[in-house]
Amino acid sequence: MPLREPAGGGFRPGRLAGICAALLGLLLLVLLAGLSVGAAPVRPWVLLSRASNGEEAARARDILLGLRLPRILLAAVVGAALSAAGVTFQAVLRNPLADPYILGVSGGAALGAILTAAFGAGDGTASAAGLIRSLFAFGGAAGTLLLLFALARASGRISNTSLLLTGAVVNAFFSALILFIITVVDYTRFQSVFFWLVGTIEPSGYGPLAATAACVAGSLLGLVLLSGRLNLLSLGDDEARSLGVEPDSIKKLAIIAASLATASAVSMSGLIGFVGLMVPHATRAVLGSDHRSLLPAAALGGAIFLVAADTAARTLLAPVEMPVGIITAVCGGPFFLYLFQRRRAREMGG
Amino acid sequence: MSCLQARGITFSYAHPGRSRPGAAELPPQIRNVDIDVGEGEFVALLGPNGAGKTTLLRLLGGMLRPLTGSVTLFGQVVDSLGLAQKALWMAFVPQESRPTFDFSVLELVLLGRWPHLGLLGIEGKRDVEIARESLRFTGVVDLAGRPFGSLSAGEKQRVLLARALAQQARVVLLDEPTAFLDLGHQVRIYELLRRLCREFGTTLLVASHDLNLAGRYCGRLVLMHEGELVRDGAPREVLTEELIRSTYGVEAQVRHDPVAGPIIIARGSPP
Repeated sequence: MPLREPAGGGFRPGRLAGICAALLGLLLLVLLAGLSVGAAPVRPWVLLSRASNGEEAARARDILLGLRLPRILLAAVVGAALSAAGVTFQAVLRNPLADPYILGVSGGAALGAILTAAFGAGDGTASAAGLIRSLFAFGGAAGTLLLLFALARASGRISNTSLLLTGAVVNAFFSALILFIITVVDYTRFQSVFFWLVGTIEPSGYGPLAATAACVAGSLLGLVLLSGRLNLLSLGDDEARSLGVEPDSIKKLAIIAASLATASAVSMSGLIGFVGLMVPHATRAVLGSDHRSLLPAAALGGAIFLVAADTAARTLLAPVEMPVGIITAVCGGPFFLYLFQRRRAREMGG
Repeated sequence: MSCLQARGITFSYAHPGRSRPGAAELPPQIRNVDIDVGEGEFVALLGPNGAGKTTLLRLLGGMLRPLTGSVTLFGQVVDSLGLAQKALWMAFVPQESRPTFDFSVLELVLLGRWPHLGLLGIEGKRDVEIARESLRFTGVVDLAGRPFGSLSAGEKQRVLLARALAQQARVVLLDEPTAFLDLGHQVRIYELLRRLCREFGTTLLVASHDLNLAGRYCGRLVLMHEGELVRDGAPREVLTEELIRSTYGVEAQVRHDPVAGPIIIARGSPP
């Protein structure tokens, strides 16, 4: 049963603040855990002790602050972005199975990002290169959504089946294009691109991390401001209009913000799937469907989930690291099938 | 005084640019409709399937734009009014509502407060009170914490009516509010609507398939056929054997009961 009071009193900002504070605390715990484990036996508290000798402390600092910290922070940013984008796409398309990966939006962003790499424009770790790559990824994400909307307009409404089929086809097509481009341009990078297609959090510098975090924070702020209107959107266009909100303009704004978040995430970490599906559903089951609570809570939940998943990806087969996309897909695939099955059963049952 | 008025409105879904090759049969078109609804009236919009009742309601509610003609609400053209301002004056109750996500009953009714909320869209204590008051009026306040999706059709309709009440609009349009209900629920919804009209002076325009109920509760009936208004008047003037034959294609007998008004007994389709 959702955690809302039975005869409750509407949306209360104080309650949301409490929930967010609890989730932030949990996020800090997960971040600390992520910082503590890894291939090298280095624990974060060595930074606090003065007893260790100079060389060893420097090496520990390099591992903790140079490798692990930017990586887990990136995982948090990417997880928040994908989860918030999932909530938004679900509301805008009025389809609870929507998710940036399943829709093919991540695939479009990935193609955009790899195009810049192919031409050498977005390669490297400088933040300017990162920004160009994010811009192209944004173009790819937005283009894919335009395609989805064009298909939807032709048929009046997007059915589950056509949405999922289109997403699967678009993803396969874009992945093939990406691998083709890499084969032609720079074969030596084939394996790293392959990892990237599965979705992987790679150590990054603080520059690209900051650029990504800024883009994601901006789009999250926009989405939080729109969240009350997302409630009206999920009633359908006629009801939204009769309650005083023009659905088309809200959809445009929400899609721009969610595409930006997706593109920023994908251009750093590739095609991490199912985060935008699992986390929003779990959050909705606990907090209810009011987007004003759901959106910020799901963003924090996504951050927690992906930091935990990436920590697992780093440690399960240590010293071998696997792409975090394997973990999210192994959890997310069955979860998706369960949701799909439940919805179909409900639709058939009346 | 007329509060909702349409002059010469025409509408077609097959409007150039909107038509699609291979689109199935075209929904009804509206042809040159004039209608005046006075403040505090309880009017039923009747007509066979495809006559254009729902389309006309959506045009009057500003959810569709007429190709020609104009709709005015309290003397202001609806198109230029802005959706937010319009929502303060006019509410709409759909035939059914299927929110994508399972909102609680109270959450759904609170969405009716949206036009009254500030920029951030956060409701206050007063809004919650109004929502609960509305639920009390429609007799479903006990369901406030239940998920909307778990309610019966009759309960859902009462919740949607409560949402329109919470909107505190002076005009309410309803699209076949009793379509999925049994006789008992149908009668109770119409009694609620009549109370709403009498106690609060709310203007009601309801599209309906039930000639007997409409004739019993509404002071005025408007009969549509193939996108045009064919008769507008008191139940006695609209529910006649000839009009029922020519619009619905049904041989019927009309009896007049001193309490219930005209009663239609269908005899079958004409030979």
